[in-house]
Amino acid sequence: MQGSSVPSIKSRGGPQARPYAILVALAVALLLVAGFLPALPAPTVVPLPTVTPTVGLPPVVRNEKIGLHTRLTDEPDHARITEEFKMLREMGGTWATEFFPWSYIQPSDPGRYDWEHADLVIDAAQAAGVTLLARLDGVPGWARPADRTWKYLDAEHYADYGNFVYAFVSRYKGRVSHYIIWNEPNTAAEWGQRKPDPAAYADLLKVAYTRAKEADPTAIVMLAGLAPNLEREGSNLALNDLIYLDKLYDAGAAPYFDAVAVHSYGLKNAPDDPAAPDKLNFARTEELYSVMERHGDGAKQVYVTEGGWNDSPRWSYGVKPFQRVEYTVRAYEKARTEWPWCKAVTLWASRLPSPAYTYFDNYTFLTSDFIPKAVYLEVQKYAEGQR
Amino acid sequence: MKWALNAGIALLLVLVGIGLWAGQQRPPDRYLDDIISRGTLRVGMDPTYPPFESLRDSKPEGRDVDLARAIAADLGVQVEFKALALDTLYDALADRQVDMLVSALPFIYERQKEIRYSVPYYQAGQVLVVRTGETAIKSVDDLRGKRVGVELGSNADTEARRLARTRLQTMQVRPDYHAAADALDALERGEVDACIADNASAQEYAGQHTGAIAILSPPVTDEPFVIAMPVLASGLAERVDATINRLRASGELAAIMGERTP
Repeated sequence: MQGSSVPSIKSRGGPQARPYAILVALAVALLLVAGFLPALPAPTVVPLPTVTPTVGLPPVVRNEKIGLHTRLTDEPDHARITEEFKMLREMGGTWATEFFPWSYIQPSDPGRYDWEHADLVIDAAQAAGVTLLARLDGVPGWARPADRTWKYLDAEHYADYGNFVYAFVSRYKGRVSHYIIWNEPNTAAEWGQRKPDPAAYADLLKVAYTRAKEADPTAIVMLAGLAPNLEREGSNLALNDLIYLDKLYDAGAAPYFDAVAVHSYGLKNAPDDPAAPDKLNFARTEELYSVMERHGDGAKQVYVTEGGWNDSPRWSYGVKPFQRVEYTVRAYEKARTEWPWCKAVTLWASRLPSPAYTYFDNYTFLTSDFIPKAVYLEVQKYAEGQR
Repeated sequence: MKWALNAGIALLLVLVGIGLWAGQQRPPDRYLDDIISRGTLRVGMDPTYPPFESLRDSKPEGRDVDLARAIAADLGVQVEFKALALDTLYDALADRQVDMLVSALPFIYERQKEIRYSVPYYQAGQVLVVRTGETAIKSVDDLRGKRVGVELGSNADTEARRLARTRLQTMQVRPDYHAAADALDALERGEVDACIADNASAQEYAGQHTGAIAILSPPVTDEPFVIAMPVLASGLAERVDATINRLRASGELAAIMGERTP
């Protein structure tokens, strides 16, 4: 580059520089001999992250309920965000659930918003033709006591959350239509390390619903996906999801949601394992829908926003790899043929931004560097009618 | 001028001497010192992953258990195993509840700020398997036009399909099997020309079907198991590497790891 003030390589490496180079080399050699430099790491091949070519054209989708939960919260790369939605479409998926943390968008004070990352994700989903289910929670530091987790929100700050929901829906109306209010409030972990409180969540839901509708009367406001569990009432850890949903209706929450998000993990069980109140399986979704029907709410749609199977040999709830493939395909088909009240199934998870090196990696459909796993390719075949 | 040159050479020689002397001095390793003075090596593992580690009548057994015992013997100390959940292993190491983790762990590049890994002691990656006496297939590149059996949904399946999509477009992947052993049975029967399977499954099959199959080198994917220690445990790591290298050279490591085919 002419006129640059950056010294050229030549000017830094001329003959006069050679003695210094020799001295540096000698010093390094001495340090190595003396054992001052750390040992080289164990030899291994660490693959560089690359965006691999896509795997084909979008198939003719025979099941319009297919979707995945993306995990783009910590994925800053625009190209990778775009690739992820593109590959979801190529698998045959048209739905995605994604988490938009309040604390990322309004991190420092109530008056400032940072929409950059949310814009990237929502634009990419829209460009790919993927309908987003936007999960909204994650409390910023300014809206909670310093010694509480980012899932803690007391009633004093419900209005702040409502303002965030209003701002989010206002910004994205026309591009996002579905909003999930909170996540698994029936667990202490997701309710700020407090005992789950259906009435308090019903109050929060009312605020969020009202503000979302003010921003966009056509917005579909969704009840949070509940964590499937069999904990008894009074447990400090969690409350049984069926009981929790029942209590939400008792608390008068029904007018404040248009649809219900469901978390539907199969664990060791096949998708056709029958539902029962004391069972945790994929079909537990039917139990939740029964609670809705019992409260006269059966006209509302259900969306599976998390779920699926894990094939880690190192997790006690893992299934064999072939079972994961077959159960996953069957789950999508079951939702299509047997669950008319279920609008979409977004299984966990499309991909992680980087490997977790735990059983969590065995939930994904793509590796972190976008290599499609067999489960992805078999769902793609199914979506194309080849399976 | 000559005086200055001589002085410079003398200074350089002194520096070299100091460097060589310092090279003989091992930096202090309190981790190793603690183990020696305690007389016990505390090993963390998740004992739910046979054949590498599991519990029988509450007692640990498996390949990693045997390897840890060999390391302790070389250190001249007793060994004590602490059963931990997989996702708590590194926390236990950081809290110094254990001295090292021997638990079929992969090498994690990102952890090296806090962790010092041993040299690899086991190759857990995917391997190419052929029938004994097969001469047409010597490497992955020879799989063009061949039928390759894999366990449906496995990492081997993912890798085989990746190869077929990219480098080896005429390779026919047969993901028709529900276990690696089923794919290897199909190989023996001649239904497929080769298999890709994880090394542990292939080795186990080779042990049970003596002379039937050959596991080819190098592996199709490189997924070594390593031992994890605190990053400052340089002396301990040196001793661990020495034990692994000694066991490898003597053939004992292959025996401990159940490797029957080179």
